[in-house]
Amino acid sequence: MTDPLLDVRGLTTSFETGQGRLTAVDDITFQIEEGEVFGVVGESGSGKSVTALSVMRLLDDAGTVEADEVRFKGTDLLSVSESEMRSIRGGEISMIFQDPMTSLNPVMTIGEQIAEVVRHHGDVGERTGFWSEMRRKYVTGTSEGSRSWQRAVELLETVGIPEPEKRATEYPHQLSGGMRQRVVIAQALAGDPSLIIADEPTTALDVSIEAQILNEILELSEEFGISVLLITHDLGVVRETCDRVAVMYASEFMETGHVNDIFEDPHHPYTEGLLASIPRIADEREWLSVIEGTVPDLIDKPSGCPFRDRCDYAFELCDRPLVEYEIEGSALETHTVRCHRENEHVEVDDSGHVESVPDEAVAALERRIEAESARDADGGVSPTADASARADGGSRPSPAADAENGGDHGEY
Amino acid sequence: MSSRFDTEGGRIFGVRTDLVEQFVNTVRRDLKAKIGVVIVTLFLLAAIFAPELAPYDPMAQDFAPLQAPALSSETPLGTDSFGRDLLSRLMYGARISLGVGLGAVLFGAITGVLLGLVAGFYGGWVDDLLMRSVDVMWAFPWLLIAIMLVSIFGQGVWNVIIAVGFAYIDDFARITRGEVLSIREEEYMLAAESVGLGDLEIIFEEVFPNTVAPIIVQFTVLVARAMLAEATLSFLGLGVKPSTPTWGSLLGQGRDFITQAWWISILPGVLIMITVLGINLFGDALRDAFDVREVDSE
Amino acid sequence: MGLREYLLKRLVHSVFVMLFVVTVVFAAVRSIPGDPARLMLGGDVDTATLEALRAELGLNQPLYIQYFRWLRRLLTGDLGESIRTGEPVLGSIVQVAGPTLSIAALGMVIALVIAIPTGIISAVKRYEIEDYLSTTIAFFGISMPAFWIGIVLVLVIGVNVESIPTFGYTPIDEGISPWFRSILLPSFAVGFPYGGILMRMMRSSMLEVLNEDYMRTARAKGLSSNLVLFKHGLQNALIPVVTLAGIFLAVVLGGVVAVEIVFGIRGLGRLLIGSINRRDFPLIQGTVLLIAFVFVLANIVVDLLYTMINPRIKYGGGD
Repeated sequence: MTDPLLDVRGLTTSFETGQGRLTAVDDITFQIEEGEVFGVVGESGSGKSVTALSVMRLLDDAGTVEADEVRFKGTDLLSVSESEMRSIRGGEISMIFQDPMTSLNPVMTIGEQIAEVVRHHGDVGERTGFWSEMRRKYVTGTSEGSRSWQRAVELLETVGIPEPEKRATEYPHQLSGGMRQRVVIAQALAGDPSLIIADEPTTALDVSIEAQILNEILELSEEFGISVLLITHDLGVVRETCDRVAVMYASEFMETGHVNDIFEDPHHPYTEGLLASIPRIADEREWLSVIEGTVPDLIDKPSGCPFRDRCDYAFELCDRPLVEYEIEGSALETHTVRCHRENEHVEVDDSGHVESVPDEAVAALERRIEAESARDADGGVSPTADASARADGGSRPSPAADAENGGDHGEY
Repeated sequence: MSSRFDTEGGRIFGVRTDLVEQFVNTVRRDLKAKIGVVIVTLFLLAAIFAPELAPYDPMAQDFAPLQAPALSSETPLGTDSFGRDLLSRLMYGARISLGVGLGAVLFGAITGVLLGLVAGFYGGWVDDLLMRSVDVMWAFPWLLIAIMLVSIFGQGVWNVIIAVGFAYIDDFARITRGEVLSIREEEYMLAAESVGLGDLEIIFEEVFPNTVAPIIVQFTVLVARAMLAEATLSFLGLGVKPSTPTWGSLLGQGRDFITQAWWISILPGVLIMITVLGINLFGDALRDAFDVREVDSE
Repeated sequence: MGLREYLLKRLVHSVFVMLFVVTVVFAAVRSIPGDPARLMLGGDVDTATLEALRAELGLNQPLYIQYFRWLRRLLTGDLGESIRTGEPVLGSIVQVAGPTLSIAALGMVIALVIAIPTGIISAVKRYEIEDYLSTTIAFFGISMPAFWIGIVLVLVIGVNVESIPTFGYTPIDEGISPWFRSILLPSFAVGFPYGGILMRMMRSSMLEVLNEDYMRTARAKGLSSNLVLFKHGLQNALIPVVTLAGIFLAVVLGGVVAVEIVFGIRGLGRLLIGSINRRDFPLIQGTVLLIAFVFVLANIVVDLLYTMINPRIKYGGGD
């Protein structure tokens, strides 16, 4: 298997707040292959957007991003210089944000907003220095007629905007919501990216155009061979669009796997709960089920499973630190779950409830936790600024790799 | 707390108690707010108790003229050209300066809030008429308004109060009307109407308490500006009668002796600056506490 | 609303404002107590002489006739003659308008040049030393009357720097440098409070813009932080500031009147105060009208500027 396009291991993002340390993203690991659509699904506030912004290094100073590695096409994104990162942002990796009304600049023409991406990341031979850009903005007022502008017009046509030459000279407020999001898509394509991160791209739109916009993103990414990281709270969207999906809850990935595995054979109680809350047409249930309880406070988050207070299957191991379990028999892709019910020594009855927890289970878990903390103490997790500590990080075996080739931990 | 502070609706004189709470919290947290509160309280007390605190009669020409400040002497802040004690004059001056500042804004606030409430609540031609008039006032430099009014009605405390306060009517009218319009959109107005509350009841029970936060903030900011305006008018000889000590008139008189006795014009100016600074700090604290925006886009 | 409609609306509004100002000024000046004819003649005069003068000045006519006569003459640029000197009002005003307008203009420029960049820096470096320093200075700016700043400048600069005069005005035709030096201190006194207001507005406006989604989009495009700030942020942050900048010009015009007196400059302010003391009605009217006219004109310019930087008005449609 070739290297994944984006390889994120042990990503943790936290913010210092007046009340304490808020862990917005807690030790998440995922890979996105070339041409793949990877979904991250979860409630609002679960840390989906922060995950995307952490990878892009777009969080402001308040956020601290730590990771074993965030490797994109072999480059460690957390250790490259800011100027190298800038050439990746908008170029190799571009973003689509939620609300096209607020994510487009109200005082710049649509054409220029796309053209500037072409100019900065494409090969059009136009000057992109500060003063050249300032002249375009405040003196000439436009870059109309330049190659980047022509490319912007082409892109508008590509995303299905009629009269692209005319539209390019217009301002965002002159377009409808759906058109604006098409502009945002064109802007995301302008840097010729390998990966598009789409953060709730249809949430702010009317339901009637939601499907159109989603299709546009998927068709174009397929046409140009672009991978997509799709962030959404909508399981319906995930099912229709994604190849693989991660279910996020309270800043952690609870379950990751192929979309069919997740939907047909969910292993995590939270995933089950989520699936049970989707209304279905041929529904025989009288009530939609609702997950009782509330999301735990992410400030000074305690260790252990964050879902345990709301979980019907909670048992004594749930307050131990979570580790990743690989599900056997998953036909298409790796299917991993972070729930101690999957510990091979734990005995589970037919209804999914835990019957007994033999000592071997506890021992196996403790060995596993110890191994992981040893890895962390070894400098695996280090602040973003500390590039030297990560120089050798790439070769360090990851927990997933451990599980695959080791087996010496005994859980599987 | 006495029962007056614990009325059922959580309001004191129509002001929501949570605003008071928010403000107290802000003052606890913010150093700027603390400084503001201390300055404002100190000067208010000095002004209110000037007759008790001032060492001499501010009008008595008891000392040698143009004496420099010397803390050990009888006249710690020096004397003016008529041999009057400057400290006493400054303390009495605080009464006029603060009084005119507060009074002017109170005049502007009462008039403006009433206009704004009526305009916003009734809408239609009433709104058009009132707000167009207010628009025109916006397009008029305040000093001209004040100068004209003072020259019409003559000098004196009340005239200066009205002259200065006149320019602030539009600010309050605009804020109140805007808030009323946004509140009218909200559901509880419908609820109030459906319960059968009359217009006046709705205005005072529902609308007014909700416009209170931005109005308080604006009030504070304008008191600072009104004090500067009063000082300017007095300096131009158009304020309260020249013999009455106010910070502005003291400053104006001192200007003639600037080379021999700088303190006569510098001291009142410093007091104006400190007071206005304190009020502005206080206003900023209120703005933060009540979360009122300073700049409204469009 | 299209650009043309917007501008037309603003222009009509300005005309109404001017008309209103004219009316108010007329009414106000006529209600100033004291009979100008009696004041002109001074002391004891017989009724016949008084009546003759009143007739000559048109003061015996009904008020509305006086108003329309005055309005008609106003439209032809005739502001009447000074009761005291008999000289045409327009001439007297134009004679002294130079220093006032020079000071106001330079004061405005000083304020803008200092306040806008400082406001931006303050917002970008929020809660850092640059921010605390500049907000503190701005705070002092909005807490001092302009004329007092003038007095302090006279005491501090006037005594120590010989090349900068603290008294009087040198017309521009006697050389740019002497002119500039003569208005430098008064302009600074007038500009400082205005700059304080502008800086605070610029800061809070920029702070709001920095939180906008489109700024994050711009960063996600891989633009440098300077480009994000100045290409994507600046214009948006200026939109609300420009509107208020016009309204707060009143601070500058109000300040000039008193600052002129501090620096012993014979300008509109001194003319106005003098004519109020002498009850010279035509001169009061003329001066107030001119200042109001300058203010309205400045606000028309601000409106034009506003339409230039806000495409929502330039290109109507949408919401």
